[in-house]
Amino acid sequence: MSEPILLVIDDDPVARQALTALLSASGYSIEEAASGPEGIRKAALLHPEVILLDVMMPGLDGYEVCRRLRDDPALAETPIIMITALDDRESRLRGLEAGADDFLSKPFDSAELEIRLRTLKKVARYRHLLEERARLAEAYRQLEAQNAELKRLSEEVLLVQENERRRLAMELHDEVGQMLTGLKLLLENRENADPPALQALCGRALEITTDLLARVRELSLDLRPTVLDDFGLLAALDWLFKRFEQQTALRVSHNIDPFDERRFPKAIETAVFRLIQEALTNIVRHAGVQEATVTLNIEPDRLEVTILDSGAGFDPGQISPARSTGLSAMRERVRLAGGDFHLQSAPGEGTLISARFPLPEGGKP
Amino acid sequence: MTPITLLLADDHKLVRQGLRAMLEARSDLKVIGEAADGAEALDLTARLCPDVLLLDVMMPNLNGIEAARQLRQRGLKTRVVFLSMHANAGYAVRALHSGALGYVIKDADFSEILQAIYNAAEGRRYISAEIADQVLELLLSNNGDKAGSLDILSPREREILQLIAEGNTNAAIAKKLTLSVRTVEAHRARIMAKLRINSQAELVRFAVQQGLVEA
Repeated sequence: MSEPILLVIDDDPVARQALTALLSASGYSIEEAASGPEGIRKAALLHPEVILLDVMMPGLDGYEVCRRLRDDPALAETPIIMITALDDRESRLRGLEAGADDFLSKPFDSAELEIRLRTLKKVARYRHLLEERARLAEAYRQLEAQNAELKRLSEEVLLVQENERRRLAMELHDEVGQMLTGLKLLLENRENADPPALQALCGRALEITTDLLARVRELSLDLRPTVLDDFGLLAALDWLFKRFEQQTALRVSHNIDPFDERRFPKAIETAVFRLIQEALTNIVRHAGVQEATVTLNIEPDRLEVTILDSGAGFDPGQISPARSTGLSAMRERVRLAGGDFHLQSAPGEGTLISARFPLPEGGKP
Repeated sequence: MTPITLLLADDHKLVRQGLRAMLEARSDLKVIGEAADGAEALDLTARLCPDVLLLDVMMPNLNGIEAARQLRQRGLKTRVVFLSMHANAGYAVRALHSGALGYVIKDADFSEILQAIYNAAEGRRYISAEIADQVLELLLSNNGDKAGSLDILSPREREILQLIAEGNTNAAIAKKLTLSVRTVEAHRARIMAKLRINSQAELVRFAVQQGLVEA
């Protein structure tokens, strides 16, 4: 750290020289000002640790300079020592009133000056400590807030995960499990069946197996479409749009080439796929329209995603907790993959979601 | 008549066994080998020269699509029919591009598998009924006419496309047209979706081709 600055404001060059000489070994870097206005300017610029201020100056006198220095919030706490030739009670009272902290009389006594400065240094150290403490307290407060947010998010993640597991368990138990039980019961009948009944039984078993296969296939697609891993994001999105069209009548206009097998980092591919899936689900649920636009802008250094609808829209500040959780999960997913997330919506004006992900050099995963 | 010789390649033994049982019940088909991954399928095909290879799409050690590609590169005469869990046109089209003649969903009716084998043996194609439509749609939707013409854009969109092609940022365009940046962003997305273009460079190229801006 550089030396703290001590600013001498005095119109008398001889007095300034004398002070500079006295202070040469004080550990301060000395700055001089030859008038009140110059002193105020330098003080604002340099933020000195101590100001020595002469009372008797032409133009702005020391009292006025002192008042103006105190008006600057950045200088409100800076120690100001007034230099006064008149060691009388009245000028000291006026000085105190103007905001001075201490006094020094001319001619200067080096021992006295040293003691005054030592005291001021101590005060300055305490002030720095206090500032440091305030900064630490603020940093601590921010950290706590971030911690709380992190805790909230991980609780949300756990909740979402648990809900997903519950849904899966139910699906496995109620659907797949029941169908398998039915199949087993059916096959156990084989011993008391005559050949025609056996034929019928096998036919029925085949039907159940076919249903079962379709069920498991759907379940696995819901969890994670293999096409995302096998052929990449663009093929997976093409598949996703067709699936939305089949299942919900939502038509998605887009600029995706289903045979473009460009790959992006895995985390980004997953984040973009889920972001679009979630956004399209929201459009189906809330927007009240059957059209959406999804575009990818693929540049050498970044991937930008835009999801757009001209539906009902909403006030982002006034949505149900469940929806707000959904949105913050989207935001968080994008952030975790290194992207920026933007949402723009207003009642009656549709919704625009965009995300931008920086791509690594060379654009390869 | 000599039976059609078959090689089965699937990483699930149970599936191979089931298939083999069904196929061997027919006198005009003969299973001459089984492979558990793509590399083995390639090896056995080269050694046994079956008439038809029944190939799973996704397998460990060289997936089916890659195996089919290499088969063709090596000039092997064996015809390939894919048997797949994926009722997905994306898989089917890629599989057919690799040189295969058939693509059948595993849980399709067994008669479909037979039909695909007979067709392949005669050098004809077969696609499972369940996804035939999707496959055609995917191929047609992607056939050539990638970027449309300027006519499909609204006047406002043409104006914005021109400004983009001239190198203006969204913010600059917003300022020029006194629109919000988000509105410009939305227009840009609609333009890119309509033209099926997905990069700035392509947008500029298109605008130049259409005479909207000077090269």
